[in-house]
Amino acid sequence: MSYLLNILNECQSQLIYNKKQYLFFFVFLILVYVATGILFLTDFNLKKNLFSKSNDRTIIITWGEKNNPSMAKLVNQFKHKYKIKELKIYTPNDAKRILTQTSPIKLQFDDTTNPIYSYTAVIKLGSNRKEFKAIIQELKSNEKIEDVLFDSEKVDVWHNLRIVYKYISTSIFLVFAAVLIFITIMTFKTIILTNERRLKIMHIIGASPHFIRFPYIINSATLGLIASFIGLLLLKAIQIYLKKRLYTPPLWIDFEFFYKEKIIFLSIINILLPVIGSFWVTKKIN
Amino acid sequence: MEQISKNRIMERSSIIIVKNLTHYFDTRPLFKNTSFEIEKGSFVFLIGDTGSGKSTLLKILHGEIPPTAGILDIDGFVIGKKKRHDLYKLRRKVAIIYQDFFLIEEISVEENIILPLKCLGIRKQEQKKRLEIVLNILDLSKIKKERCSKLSGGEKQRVAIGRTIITNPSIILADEPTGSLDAKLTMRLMKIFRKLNDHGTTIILATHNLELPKMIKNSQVLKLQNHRLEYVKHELST
Ligand SMILES: Nc1ncnc2c1ncn2[C@@H]1O[C@H](COP(=O)(O)OP(=O)(O)O)[C@@H](O)[C@H]1O
Ligand SMILES: [Mg+2]
Repeated sequence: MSYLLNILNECQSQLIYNKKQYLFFFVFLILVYVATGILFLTDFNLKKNLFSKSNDRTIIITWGEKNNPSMAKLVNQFKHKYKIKELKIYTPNDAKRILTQTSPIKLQFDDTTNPIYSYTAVIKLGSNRKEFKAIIQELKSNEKIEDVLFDSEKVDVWHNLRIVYKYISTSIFLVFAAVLIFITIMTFKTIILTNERRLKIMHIIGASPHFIRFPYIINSATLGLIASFIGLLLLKAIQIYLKKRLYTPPLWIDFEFFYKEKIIFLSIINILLPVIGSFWVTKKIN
Repeated sequence: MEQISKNRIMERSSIIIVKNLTHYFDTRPLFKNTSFEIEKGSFVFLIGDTGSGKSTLLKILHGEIPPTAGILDIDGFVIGKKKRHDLYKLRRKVAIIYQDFFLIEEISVEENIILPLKCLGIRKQEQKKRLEIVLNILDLSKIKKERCSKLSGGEKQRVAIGRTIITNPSIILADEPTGSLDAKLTMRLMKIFRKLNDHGTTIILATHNLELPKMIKNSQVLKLQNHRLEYVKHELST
């Protein structure tokens, strides 16, 4: 217990001796946190807004028989199996009207070659893009269904865009991690260099390696924690500022930074990486 | 293991056993296959010419420099060629006073002296109690709040001693402690060492001042000559 108190005491003296370096480190932690938060979460926001509102997962199926109960049953089975977000069945006339107005799928409604022979179901899939192809396959293989329509070109474009976004997200995250580790290592290397004499003294007087190392690690964790907290407040302020400006026509982007999992993930990384960095650097003191 | 080696020391009443010590810096020999023992509670003066390797020997005894060859048993702690990772255990028994003190200049006298107790995780109350005693012995009470950077050489010397004795080590190694002191301060310092020795602390004091051994009754002189360490009589050393 008193050992712990003494270590905490040493943490405090550490902070005082290396004010400059620790302050620099702290400000950097906040900046990196906020910058990454903005990039990472903006990316996530865009993805969410673009893809969830897009109709890339809309499939239109048509069948001939009017009010076919087995058909309705089949469609309902699909709804459950693939967790389909929205499913509506239209009469030929309604379908014609609705599809021309809202569907992203280019359908020709010319009188002679009317593709809407009959009843139509419009399926909107949620986020389960992976199963898209499987659904199409299954629908196509069903004999009762006369036609399955979807805009394959558009689906491909969205698909590629999404891959690009994935890469952007991942690289932002990796850069964030690299910068964090780099800053931590540089900070603690300078601190150790400027503390050389002090460290030698600690060794001479019989301080255990733990006693010498822990203060560095505890300080990096504490600063990471406080920096995350302040970074979070800054992100909140930025969100309030952005929200009004983005949620207006023609953008209508619903901007939200505080996806709990993302924030927690970011904060844990912001604490963990400095800890790992300081742990690694201080390994050499012996 | 530790128990066995401790028993062995008790039998011989040796607190330090050095066997076949050899040390080279590059190709330059400092010690060549030399052995010696130091009795528990003794006051040993380590004498030798400048550059003969007195400081190096103290650093070897403190585990800072691993010897090229040989085995050292220091109060049950065995040092060999390899640098050990639990040296701090040795350093809690064996304290060293360097030629250039190694104090933390930015903090006060009392903070410097109390530092080893913090490393040991000793309670605040106990820390204060021991600090009072040490400050009194070394006559540092008046300047306990001073920053070490402001002190004179003699005062720094006493702070360094305070820092070593506060943990009550079984062995004190002192490297030329009187080097920068005048005759009066030297007398005073030797009195302090004698007092510590009277309380059972083994003291090994490196010096090239051959007058010092005369000031301590029953002290021994370990002479470093021709890369070997041997006990010599007082008369011979003067
Ligand atoms: N770390 C070192 N590396 C190489 N040579 C050293 C080192 N430390 C001391 N020496 C050399 O070893 C010799 C003995 O030094 P030292 O132990 O300080 O002698 P003394 O204290 O008896 O004057 C000196 O010539 C010194 O230059
Ligand atoms: Mg010397």
